[in-house]
Amino acid sequence: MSKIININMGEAIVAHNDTKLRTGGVGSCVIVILYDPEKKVGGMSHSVLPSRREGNKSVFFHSAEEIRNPGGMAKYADESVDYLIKEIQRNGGRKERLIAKLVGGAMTFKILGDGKTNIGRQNVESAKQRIISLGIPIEGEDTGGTVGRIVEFNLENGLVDVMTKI
Amino acid sequence: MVIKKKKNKKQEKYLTDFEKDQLIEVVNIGAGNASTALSQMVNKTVIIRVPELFVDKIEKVPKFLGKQEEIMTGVLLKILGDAPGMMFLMFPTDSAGQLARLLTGRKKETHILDTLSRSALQEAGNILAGTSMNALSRFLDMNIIQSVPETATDMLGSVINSVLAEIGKSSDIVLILKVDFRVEGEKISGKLFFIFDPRSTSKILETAKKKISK
Repeated sequence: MSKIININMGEAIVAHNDTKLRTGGVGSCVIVILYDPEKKVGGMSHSVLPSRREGNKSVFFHSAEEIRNPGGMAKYADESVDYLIKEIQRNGGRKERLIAKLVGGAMTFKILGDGKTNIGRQNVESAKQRIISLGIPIEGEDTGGTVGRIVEFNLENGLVDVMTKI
Repeated sequence: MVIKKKKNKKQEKYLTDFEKDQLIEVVNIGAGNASTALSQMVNKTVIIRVPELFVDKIEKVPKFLGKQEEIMTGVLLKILGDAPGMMFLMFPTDSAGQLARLLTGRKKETHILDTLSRSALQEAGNILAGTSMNALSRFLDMNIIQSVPETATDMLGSVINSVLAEIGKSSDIVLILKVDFRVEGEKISGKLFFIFDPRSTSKILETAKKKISK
């Protein structure tokens, strides 16, 4: 029986062997999955926004700590890729062996932006660009659409299950 | 390797108790008006709770809202004008179906919402938002406009994702006021969320302060 680790929004987890990483309720968020098949080390992140922006600070609440460290590293799609690679390398994986998979980026509400302004699409694009620029092959992708997803990543064989509920 | 920060009691830091009470009062006025409208629409008593306030980082919101993978029906409206934000109406699927039946006067039992039910729910959202926004703009002397409503039936997490991302574009912290309501004698319950970004919050607080000190 393998262990199942749940990932919440804005989190990233790296694990190895006999483990399943799972995250549910994925809408416009993007799930980045990186895997080293040889060492069976891999990670998954659940990012909300495409990238960190200058001036993305609150104007109303000033807390010094807030400004120094606004949000976790997995909150932004591009930073989460870097974080996953770093952690995988720390756990014995090699960057050259990594393969990537992308899930998510659905458009739940049209009024929040259609087409290019849609946040789901921007999330996927941002993650994809970072992965490609690092020379990691994208082996599989299930992105876009209008339906939310549940993602399960089996580290034993690198298989990713994507489920929907409606 | 979970990215988690130490548990902190920042919630208190963002707003003072007085400011919290003010915001709750302001939203209570809106929610009270909305519930009256709903009550007139379905011709039943509608009971609402005192608004619950949540201020924290965006990634902490899903836990506040409920189970991530539960299927629900949501109606979303954008609030535009002087205090931009969003209004989100959330029903468990059964409640949504029941409410749609009450509104359309049909007896058919359907779990999947068809076009007519969806449109009925959107209209309900429109009226609820309209009345509460009206009350708010009158109380605060602000120009508040609402967008066309849109419904979605999906997992709670995935529906709320995009709403949060929209707020997250401009701010790390979000302010949400939650109002629970139910229709007496019917199995209809739901939640009404007022989501504001910090800019709007400070505006609302300023105006509320002026109003009260007058």
